[in-house]
Amino acid sequence: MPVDRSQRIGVIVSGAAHLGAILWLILGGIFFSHDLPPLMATTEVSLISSAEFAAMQARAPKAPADTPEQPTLPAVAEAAPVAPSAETVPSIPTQPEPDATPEPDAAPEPLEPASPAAEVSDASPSPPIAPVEVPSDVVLDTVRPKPAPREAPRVAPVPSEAPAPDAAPSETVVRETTPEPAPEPVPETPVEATAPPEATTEIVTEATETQDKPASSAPLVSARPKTRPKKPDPAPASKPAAEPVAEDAVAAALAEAMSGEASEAPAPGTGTAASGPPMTSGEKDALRIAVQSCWTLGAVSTDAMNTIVTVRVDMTPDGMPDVASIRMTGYDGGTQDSAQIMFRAAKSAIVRCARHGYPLPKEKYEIWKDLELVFDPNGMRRR
Amino acid sequence: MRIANQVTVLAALAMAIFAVVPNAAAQGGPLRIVIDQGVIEPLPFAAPVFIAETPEAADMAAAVTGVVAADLSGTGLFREIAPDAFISRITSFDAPVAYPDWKAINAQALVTGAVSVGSDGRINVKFRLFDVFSDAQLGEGLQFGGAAQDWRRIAHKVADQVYSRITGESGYFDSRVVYVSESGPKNARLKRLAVMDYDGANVQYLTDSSTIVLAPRFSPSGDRVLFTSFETGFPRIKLLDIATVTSRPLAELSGNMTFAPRFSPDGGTVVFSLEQGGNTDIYAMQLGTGQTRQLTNAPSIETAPCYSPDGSQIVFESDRSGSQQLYVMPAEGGEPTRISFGEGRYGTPVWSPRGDLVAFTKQHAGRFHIGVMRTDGSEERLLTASFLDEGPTWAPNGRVIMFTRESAGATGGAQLYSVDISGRNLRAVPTEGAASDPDWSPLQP
Repeated sequence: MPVDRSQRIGVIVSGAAHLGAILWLILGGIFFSHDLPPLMATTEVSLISSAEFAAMQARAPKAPADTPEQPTLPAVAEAAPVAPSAETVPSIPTQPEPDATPEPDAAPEPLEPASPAAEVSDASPSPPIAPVEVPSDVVLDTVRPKPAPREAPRVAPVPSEAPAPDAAPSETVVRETTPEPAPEPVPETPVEATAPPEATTEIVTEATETQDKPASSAPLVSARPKTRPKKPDPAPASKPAAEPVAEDAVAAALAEAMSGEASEAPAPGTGTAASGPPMTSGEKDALRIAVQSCWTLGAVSTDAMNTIVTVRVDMTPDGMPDVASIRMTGYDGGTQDSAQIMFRAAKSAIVRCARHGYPLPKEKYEIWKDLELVFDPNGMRRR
Repeated sequence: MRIANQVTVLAALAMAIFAVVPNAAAQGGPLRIVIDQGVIEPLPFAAPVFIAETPEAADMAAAVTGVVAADLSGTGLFREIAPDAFISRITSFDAPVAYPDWKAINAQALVTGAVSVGSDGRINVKFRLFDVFSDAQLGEGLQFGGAAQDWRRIAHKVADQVYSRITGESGYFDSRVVYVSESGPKNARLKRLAVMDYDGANVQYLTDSSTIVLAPRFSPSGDRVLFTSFETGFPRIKLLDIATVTSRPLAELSGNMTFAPRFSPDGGTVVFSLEQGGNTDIYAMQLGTGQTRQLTNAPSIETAPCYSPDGSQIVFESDRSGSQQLYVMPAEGGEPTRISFGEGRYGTPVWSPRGDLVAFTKQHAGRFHIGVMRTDGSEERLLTASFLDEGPTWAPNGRVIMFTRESAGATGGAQLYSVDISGRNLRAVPTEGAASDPDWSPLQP
């Protein structure tokens, strides 16, 4: 039977619509899914008889009576003056769960000893376990029964420090060593001030002792002028002759050398020259140090401190000066009066320090039997 | 030809050297040693109690000996050996000295003396000084006579002689110091002039405390004192005669402030500061005629003038450079030359009696110093340092400086101190109560 065009279109449209509905039902959830409601939590349970439950309950250890009330304690210290034992911690897997009390959500919190929240024990619903004495790592890793914490009248307000870590494994036993404790500081006892000796070899004025360090590098003290020039020699009686020409000087030098009259000293081997070895620098220093230790300049004038005096003294073979022979042979840089002051100080030094004789080698007496001592105070003026 | 001549000269010199050197080495001259380091320490001396040649002179002899020893020890240059250490006893003024006994106790100087009291009550003191390690007397024996009440002056004169013979410079013990004696709290201090021996003895007050007085200055002869008085409410210079203890204004300069006076070395002129219209300059007045002459003319403050010992120059302080510094100008006035260039402020310059140094007060870094420098400003040395040191004055021999040291705080007071120009021997001068602004007299005749 022929189907007209309108009927055929209706069939096609109907078929397509049905096909689309079918596809919508099959695949529509993929593209147009809604938020599914959360799945219901399911828990597998095993059914036991009442007899088996009674038997199991009989085998289980008795929990403290106040344990179930822990989550509702308003204050830890007030409700639980005695800390419960560690076995009552619900998180221990070997612990049978009492069915009468739900497991408190906050129970693990006391196992975090390092948490600062553990310090706020008043508001915590957790059991009053001193968190400082039950480090979490030990509790969670060990299967040994933990010792009960010591009873305390109150919970510690602050956690104590964590225990030292376990010793590292080693083949040999090594005892722990601790550094030696530092000695306790000894309190300083007041000591009365003492004064330095009245004598000194260097002047430190009050201003120098207390003077602050200058802020700049500018010198605080002006440069010291040069020493006083030497006194001019007495006017010569006659003006010296003009310098000879070079040829004359050469000729004079040659003549003087050839004639052997270059000096007033006798020729080698004919005079009183020392025959032994010369004085060593150490021997000279010994004499110098011995004399200068008695050269006292504390009571001389400031003018005298500018005067250099030269003193000659004859020595005896035992190292003693002949006091009568001490004489000033010259001075420089001062007046006659200041030279006399310095000569007196020099003479006193020579005599005072020779009470037992100067340390001079006897075998070289020919060298030191005649001494010329130059006393130069210029290095001491500013001390 | 020229080369030949040079060769000849060199050969001649070489021959001369080789010929001379052996001779010099062979000389039998003395062994020469240079001593350039000594010991700076007080010289130990012994001063046995002077012999009492009359029975009534026993106490006086002990007192005179004590003053002599105290004078010498107070310089810091001498150290008295305790009498307990003496081996020898001086039983007679003319007895020979046992030098070994004094050497044994390291007495480098020995002072012996004798005191007698005459029938008229006058005392006679004689002494001898010995250089122990030279086994000789040092100088001639000397004696002084005077009224019994002047026994301290006589003792000072003995000490001056000993000091001078040993050190080579004049003494300063027989001298006086005029100063401002202070009393009362710091905010209501009463001041009056006083004069005393250099060691604080024999205090004599010259004014009462009804008027503030400042800056007393001795005349070269020591018989008069210039000072600044606030009697009229303004500072005015007055001249006081010590013998009669009477004073008069130096000049009638009404309406102007005059201060910081000082005598010229001849005593005929007074140099001072005068403030006119807010400006301070230095003037000089002839005491005989009253003629006044202006020496400086600058818009800055010039004050604290002081003559050099020869009277040819004046050192003063001025802030003309922007800070307080020291200047030197001719005594007749003229262009000044600045001599202080260090950090801080300089003031109150005083020329040394020797003429070689200028003492000054320096303020730097919150502290005060007494220092000395050459008259050209070189070799500046600070001798002291404290909360407040000021107003130096020279001893007659130019070896010691006396100054005022004031301590801090409401209860702090002023006191006189002395120090050696080397910076050693800083010590307080004993006074009756607080004291300030000293001026040292020349040696008394």
